[in-house]
Amino acid sequence: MKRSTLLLICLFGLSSCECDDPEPELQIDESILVQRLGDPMPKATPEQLETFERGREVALTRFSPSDGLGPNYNVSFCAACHEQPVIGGSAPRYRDFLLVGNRLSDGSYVGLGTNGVLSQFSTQRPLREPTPEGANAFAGRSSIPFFGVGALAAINEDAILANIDEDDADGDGISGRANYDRGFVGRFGRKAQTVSIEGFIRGPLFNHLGVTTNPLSDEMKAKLPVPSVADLTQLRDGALFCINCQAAAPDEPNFDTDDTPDPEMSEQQLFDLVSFAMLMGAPAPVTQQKRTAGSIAGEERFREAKCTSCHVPALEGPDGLVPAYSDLLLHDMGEDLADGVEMGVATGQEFRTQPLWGISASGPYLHDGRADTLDEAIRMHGGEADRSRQAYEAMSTTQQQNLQMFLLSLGGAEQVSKGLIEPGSPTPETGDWGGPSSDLSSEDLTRFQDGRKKFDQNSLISDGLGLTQRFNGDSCRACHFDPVVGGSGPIGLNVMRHGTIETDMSFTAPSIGTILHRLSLDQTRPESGGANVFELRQTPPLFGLGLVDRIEDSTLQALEDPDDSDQDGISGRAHILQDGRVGKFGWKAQLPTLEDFVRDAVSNEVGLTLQEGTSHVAGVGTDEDGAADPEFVSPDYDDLVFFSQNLGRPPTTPIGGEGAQLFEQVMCSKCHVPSLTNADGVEVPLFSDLLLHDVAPADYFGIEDGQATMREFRTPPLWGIAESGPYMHDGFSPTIDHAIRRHASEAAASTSAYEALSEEDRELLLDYVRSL
Amino acid sequence: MFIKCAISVLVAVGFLAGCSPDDGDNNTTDMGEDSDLFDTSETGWLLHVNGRSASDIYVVGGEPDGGAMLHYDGDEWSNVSLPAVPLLNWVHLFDDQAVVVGNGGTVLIQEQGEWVVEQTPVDRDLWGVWGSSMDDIWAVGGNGREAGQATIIRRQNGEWSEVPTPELERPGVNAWYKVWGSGADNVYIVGQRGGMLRWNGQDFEELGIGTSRDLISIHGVSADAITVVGGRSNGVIGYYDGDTWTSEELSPAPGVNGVWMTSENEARIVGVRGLFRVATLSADGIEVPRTPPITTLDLHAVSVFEGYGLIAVGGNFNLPQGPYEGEAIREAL
Repeated sequence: MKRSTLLLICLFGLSSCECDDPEPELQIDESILVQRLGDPMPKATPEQLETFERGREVALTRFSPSDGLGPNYNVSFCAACHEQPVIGGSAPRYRDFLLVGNRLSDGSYVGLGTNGVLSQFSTQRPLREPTPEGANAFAGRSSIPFFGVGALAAINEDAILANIDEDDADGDGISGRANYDRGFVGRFGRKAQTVSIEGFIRGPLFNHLGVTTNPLSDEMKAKLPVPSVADLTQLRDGALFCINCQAAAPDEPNFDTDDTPDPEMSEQQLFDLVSFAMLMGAPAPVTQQKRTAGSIAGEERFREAKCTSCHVPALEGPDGLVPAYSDLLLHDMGEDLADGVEMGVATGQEFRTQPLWGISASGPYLHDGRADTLDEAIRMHGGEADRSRQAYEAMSTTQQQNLQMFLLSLGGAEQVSKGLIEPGSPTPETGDWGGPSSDLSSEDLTRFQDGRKKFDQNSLISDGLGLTQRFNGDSCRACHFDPVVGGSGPIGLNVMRHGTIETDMSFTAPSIGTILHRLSLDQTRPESGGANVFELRQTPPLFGLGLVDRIEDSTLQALEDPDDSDQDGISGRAHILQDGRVGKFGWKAQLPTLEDFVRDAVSNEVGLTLQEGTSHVAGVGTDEDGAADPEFVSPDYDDLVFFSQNLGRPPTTPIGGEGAQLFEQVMCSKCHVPSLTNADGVEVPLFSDLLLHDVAPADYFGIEDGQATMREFRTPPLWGIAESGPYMHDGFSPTIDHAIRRHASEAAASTSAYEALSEEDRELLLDYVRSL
Repeated sequence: MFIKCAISVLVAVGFLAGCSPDDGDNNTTDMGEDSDLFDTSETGWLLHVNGRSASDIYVVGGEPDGGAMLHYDGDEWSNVSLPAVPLLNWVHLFDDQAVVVGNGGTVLIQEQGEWVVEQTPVDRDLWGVWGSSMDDIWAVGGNGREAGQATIIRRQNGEWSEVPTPELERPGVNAWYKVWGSGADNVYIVGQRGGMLRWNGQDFEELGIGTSRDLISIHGVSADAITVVGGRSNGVIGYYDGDTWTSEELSPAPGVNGVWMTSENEARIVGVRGLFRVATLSADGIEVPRTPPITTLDLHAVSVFEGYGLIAVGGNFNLPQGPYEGEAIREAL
């Protein structure tokens, strides 16, 4: 049996840290709980491993409006917020969300939105959940990793309550107290407001996805990896004591108002998901033999600074020590960190001690991700942690670095990169998804790889993230990752555009532009300023855009038929930009070149300022976030553009045959022109004319963009479509069939022809489209 | 049809490890020596108990699709014959008449010994009812999930009409749970997210007692001694001494569902998972010593009858899809 020796002399609470006779060295059995991040606990049985895999699939399952997503939502799948550095973890800042509430005149706090969560999106018009009336309190939240939560769930309540010192009887300035839910000790969430993993999953499913569930039946609970059936026969402090605390899961079904029957997730799926979380391995700390001298010294500094008063090295669980470095109790963290949000018994200044295992993989830090680094996070500790912060600040730089090294030794560091590409993972080959468009020279391959890293790398506050605080993503990969880096994005990452349709039906763009950012670093919600129309733009894939970039304007103009002179009902027109060039990129063909497309995203979505140049129509040169402008410069900028220009086309081969004939027959190919020849003489099989068409239903009004009207969109390329869902500009179509049926106006005849096909023919056509 | 008389006498409140509830389908807690058991095997949930005297007590409840009522005449308990109604939630008694409210906007009126359904202008669930007379009855309810669901209806001159909830500072109050008054011009309504209204005979006044937990029940012995209880995850209690409201968090005690004031300075409270405590109330503070639960099921309401004792009722509310179990406990005071 492998054993990792950790010096856990503060196991049994606060006072033990200062005792003269430390507890004997304690050991953690590595064969039970700890594992490489994202892998199941070693103790999992073969049957549980199967459940784990099924649960992982559920975590990756995208929900769409037609199968229960919404009506309000932030994301469309669980792993959206639990992806860093692997599925089950946390997420970079682009997945942060807001809590919203109202502080009333009697001092009480009422959570608004969906159980206190403010959703970004709605599946129903106006497509953006309005900021609730009366909202006067906002608080940011970053996602929490699930690593080892099964071990935390199994800890007996007495082990947690042993560290309570509500009145600071020992006078050390630390006065942890428990949060409670129906008498059970809370342990999950930033305020320890949730007792059970089932609750910690059902809550976000409803609050962030709008997916309804019923509580697991006792029969299913009995099969969970962590005991979860009520056994209420013990008494403690006048209340029934929870031996199987997981029994404290919420016991009410939830309901929503969309058209999908509740519950929108089956009991089996929920069971698999809860099991997946319960079985997820705890971060494996660096073994004693492999620890560096700095890390060992850092642990001593950690203890000297009394960090262990709250970050208790381990609590005792049924499978031995659980080295989470948390007492799972609430502590007052001071006014500067206070968010004003009350949950359970937690006040606006109280937060649960965040477990430190795997901390290297869960940045940015603190409840709202305000700290880029561990050093910043420590310096932001206040309230009960004031003394520890001061002790840290009094350390030499080397001692501080050692302490950080110790923290990084608590598991997962070897799996962490600056983005989500796992360290050491190979760059896809030419001809593979995400690989270069052609075999590159050694020098160019290095540029491609460097550009890919820049594409993936999370921008930090210190890098200048945010266009004066506001942003949609903190990297290019944040939105472009399906199925691989450079691809499309799910519905929860749609870009929100907004504007005003005046009484004369003209469109007025807001002074700040039509992008309405999702996030702001000041933890407030970017407001829409009275806009009355919102439009969602799904993240398109970037594969092969270097080839598209080389398509000449004249090629597109030759396809125009603005007056429908051939009377086929289709009247595409090129988007002629102010400088006379033809727009080729973006849902409204509003950008003329791939570099402009990149610049637009880097500035407007990520909020990084760029060197301004006369040849570019996109990109912002300055903002007011404190970082020196321009914030994203060469060679990083050049590498990023190079990567985008050389990202290979989708590695697909159309199957032809009857499906191809049907594609012609129902006139899909009128707009989805199979191939265009670019300036280099290369056939580009993108299945788009890149022209603007009106395919919207009669009652649709969206966003005007340059010469593109409120109803027009550029024909989206279909190459690689099988991997680029969800579909249509708003991402509301989970399948190609659904997307085709939503085509209207210029495409109405095609839609009718498609619907008139036999089921067999439709399937042939769909097979063909999927093969593109 | 009469059923076997069955109320357990709660001699010892201690419910410790090893003292388990009944094994069979009778969930009346048998806590001690004497066990005249109230057979709850067919009653469904039991949501309220109220009475005119020790020999005239009503318990209401049932299942979502079928309301039930039992009556104690001082000698034995019997099922009361009712028209077809859904789950019944609360009962208020006058000297010779009574009113019961239930799901789906249900109102039953007792007239000359018969229970008849009255038409109401709402089909939303009604959770509480109180009146100063048969000509001035308030009933409240709402599903708590959607805006505009908070429901107040009033019976005047034999007709029910809906009373709009006034515009509130407090957001998200989509249900009112209980109503109680000391007189026609002093009526309190409590509800979701700490919502509280006072009717002064002419207008509503919105009150706040410093909590946003659901306020689930209210009871008083006078206009100057009122107790309100609530909470779902964590219990809360509030007290009005004639001058100000004070509130107290009861954590780690879970939610409190029912309250009965036995004097100006004392109340019995019941709640989730058998919560059963005595609260001492004063302007200086609220004391609620921890005492053991008396059942593993949830208690929903409590009433005290001079000469008979205390009755607490409840059920397995954590199983909204059923099977529906009731709970009825008597403590000889």
